[in-house]
Amino acid sequence: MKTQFFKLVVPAIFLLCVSISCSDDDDNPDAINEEETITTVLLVVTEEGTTNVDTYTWTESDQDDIVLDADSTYNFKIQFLDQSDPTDVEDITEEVIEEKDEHFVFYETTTSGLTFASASDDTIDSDSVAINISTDWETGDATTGIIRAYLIHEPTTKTGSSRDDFGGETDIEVDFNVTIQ
Amino acid sequence: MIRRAWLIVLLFGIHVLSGQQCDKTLVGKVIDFHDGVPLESAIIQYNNTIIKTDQDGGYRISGLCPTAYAFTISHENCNERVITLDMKEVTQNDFYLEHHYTDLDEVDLASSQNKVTNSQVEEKLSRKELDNYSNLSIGDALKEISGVTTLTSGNTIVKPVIQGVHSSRIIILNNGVRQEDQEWGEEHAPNMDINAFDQIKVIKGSGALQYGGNAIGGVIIAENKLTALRDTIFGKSQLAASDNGRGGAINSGVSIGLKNGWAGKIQGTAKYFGDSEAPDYVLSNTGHREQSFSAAFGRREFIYGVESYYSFYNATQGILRASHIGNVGDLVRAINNDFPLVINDFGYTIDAPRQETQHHLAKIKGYKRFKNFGKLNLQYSFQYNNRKEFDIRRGDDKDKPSLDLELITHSIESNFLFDSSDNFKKNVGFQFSYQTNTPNPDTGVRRLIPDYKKTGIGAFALTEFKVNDQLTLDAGLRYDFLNINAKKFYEKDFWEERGYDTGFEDLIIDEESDQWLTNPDFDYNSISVSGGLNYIYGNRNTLFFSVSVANRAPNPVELFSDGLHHSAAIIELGDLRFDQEQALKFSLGSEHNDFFDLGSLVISPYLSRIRNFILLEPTEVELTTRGAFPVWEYKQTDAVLYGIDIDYSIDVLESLKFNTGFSYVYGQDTIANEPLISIPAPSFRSEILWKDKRWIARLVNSTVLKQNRYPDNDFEIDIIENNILTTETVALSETPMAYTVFDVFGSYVFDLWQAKDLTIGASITNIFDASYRDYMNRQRFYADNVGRNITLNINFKF
Repeated sequence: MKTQFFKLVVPAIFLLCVSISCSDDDDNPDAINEEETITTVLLVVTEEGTTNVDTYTWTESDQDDIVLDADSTYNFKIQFLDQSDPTDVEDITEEVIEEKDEHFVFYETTTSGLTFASASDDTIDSDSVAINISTDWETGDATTGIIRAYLIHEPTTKTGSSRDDFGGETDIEVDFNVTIQ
Repeated sequence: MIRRAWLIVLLFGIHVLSGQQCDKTLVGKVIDFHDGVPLESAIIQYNNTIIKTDQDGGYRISGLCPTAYAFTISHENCNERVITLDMKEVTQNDFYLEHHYTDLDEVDLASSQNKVTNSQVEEKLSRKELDNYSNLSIGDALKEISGVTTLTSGNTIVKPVIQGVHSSRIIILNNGVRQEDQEWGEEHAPNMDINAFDQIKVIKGSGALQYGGNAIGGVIIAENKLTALRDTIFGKSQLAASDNGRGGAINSGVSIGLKNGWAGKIQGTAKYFGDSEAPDYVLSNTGHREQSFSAAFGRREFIYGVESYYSFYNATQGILRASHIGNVGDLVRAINNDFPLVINDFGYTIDAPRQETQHHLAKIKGYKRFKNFGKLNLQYSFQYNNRKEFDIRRGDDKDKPSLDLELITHSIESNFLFDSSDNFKKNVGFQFSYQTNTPNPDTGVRRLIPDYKKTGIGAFALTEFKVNDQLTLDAGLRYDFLNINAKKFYEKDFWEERGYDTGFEDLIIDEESDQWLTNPDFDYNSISVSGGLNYIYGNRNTLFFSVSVANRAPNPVELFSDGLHHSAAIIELGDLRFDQEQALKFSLGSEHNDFFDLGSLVISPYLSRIRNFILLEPTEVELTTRGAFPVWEYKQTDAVLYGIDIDYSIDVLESLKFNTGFSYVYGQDTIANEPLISIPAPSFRSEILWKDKRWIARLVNSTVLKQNRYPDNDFEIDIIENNILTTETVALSETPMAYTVFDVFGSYVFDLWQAKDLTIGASITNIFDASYRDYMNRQRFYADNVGRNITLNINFKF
């Protein structure tokens, strides 16, 4: 009986040794550079009727302050970049536009008199809702405050007046200080 | 027992009497296999004759015919044996009997006096009890045991919690093999099918050192035994259909016992459920699918045995869509909303977020008994676990998992049980295991758990000493060595921020743009000890007392976490500097089986002091492109946990029984002087059971109080409301309200082809469709628990 017992156990031990020695390689794992992360948000701001273009950048290490003139109109184009690999910068905005039905851009501001609306060249989704990639802004009196930009993924609705109305998940939420002068 | 008797009858029929001269005589003794002691009053049966052994264990049978006889030998507390002897050749024979019933691993489900340890508090669930949960999980079933609660992520991802602790502080044994399936994660449920087991035992203590020195919380032993019967085939099929989730489960199993002692068992389960429903809404994307299969084959003889076992588990589990959040603002919106933020119509589709897990387990085991000496066990096991977690992702990565881990574990173990003296048993053994974890780099997400190799060696010695009929003492000692050899990329900024650049600079082996490749190679040595007593006194009272010191090495998450946990929207930081957790636990069990003629009472208080207790707590808020993220850091502190489990049951009438249980746990961080997080609230579970020959009806009430002891982990974020920047508190610490839920179960047994072969049952859980949230459900911020569920159950034995 002993022999039968060991007939089964010995190959098992052998298999164990083989599998350990086979898997015991010393290869180093490959580095992963996360893609799809949005590292940078750009606001490309054009004063209406002019060719004055200012680009404001938001990254985790550096945030630009926006300066606008009082009682003026501006066009804001928002851009999302992945700069995690500096040699291969990816424009995630294209993806957002491609998946326009699942995305929505929204702004909130603490600056009184500052309002925005979708621009004529904005991206329109298949339900004919403009998703605020391009927006027109009107400024009021001189003041300071912040503009908070959101990119919302799969909002439950695209109509509303505050972030709470849209549901969905927040892909982007960044603050720009703004000075109206 | 009925089956066994039937088998004996059958065996008697084998021998054919012919008209020979019946003048043969057989003499010998009946002897205890272990210690060689002759057994007095052992019974030898053949045909219709019964003979008892004398005080020296001797016997003499005359008037036998020269043919084959099947002798059935039995003795009080022994396993019956049937031995066939040909009287043409034999005149003298000694029969050996096994009188250590438990050691033979032959578990009689009807007996409750069948403990794994001497002094630990143990409870168990039999197959009959598990049958009620055939379409649920092991964790759900274990809730029947006082002191066992669950940590859930929705209704399908259910982890057991023993006396307040869970995850890597609990050992789960899957048919004798320590389950290795990334059990450290709070959202990682054990990859096991409840239908694959005949019984599940819970040891509520850390003193069962034969299983490991790091079971600070306890051990869950799930077992599936081959039949000891010969020349038999039996099986069962079970079908359960539920209205909530609009799905069901089917499972079937067949056991075979061959004449020559070989036995086999196969079993399979399939589950298919769509979205579950809370009382007021659909819990979107909470469907689940599960397929599992197991097969065992072996031979269990008295003096030797071999067994091979294989099991496969495959599951896809949907995670509530509304629980996938982008940032803290989303969490605040979820907390402030009574309804989940995403509610879709009922469906069977399982989208992201979801988990796909697979687990293969193969083992081969053998034992050999040595006369007057003991029993040697040897086991090799292999486990393969694959876990894929899918988050909501965009673009080309949409169908890619965010986490894809492959965990391979080999383990070899052996022990020798010296049981020749029933009064002084010793058990020595060792375990060796080798594990590799390989995260798939194709996920495109930085590895939450790095590549690592883990080698573990453990050796233990346990002893049980019976002082007298009332008192049995036990003591145990165990040494463990654990090595974790990982290869992990750290972002250079992070490496410095954590202060790893001083003290850990030797770990760096390579550089890849802004990341260091490091090779943490850590050794952990530990010694665990246990001691206890079991004292039987008075009218069926037993006192258990045990003290144990257990050590747990930090798990890979605690050591290596370094970033965004996407689906949870928190940044988790581990620490390479962590030392082992060391727990000192005292537990007491006071069992009164006849409590002043008023039923039975079990009171089990415990106290544990854990040094270097690892917990996750929020420290700061970090600003990212996705807005503010709370940073949760693992830290080591000292903790005290104490509590009590009380069980009481009384037979009101012959067929009417009342059971009730209460559990309370107190957990305190003694350095920060604040309550520990995620400690189960005090809970009651009571049932009225009415049972006669064919009917079983149960009314169960579960009441969970509000947990008033929780740490304040609230933090503040700025929100813009009506063009004004305001500060809002993220109130994630507050615990849910108390709740009470009633369930009813009923079943009736029919005789179809055989006696009691068909059971038809029905159950309604959460009868009153109560809306509630549970502190131990990670999805409590997003949605209510499941509402009323009606289940029909058909169980057919053949």
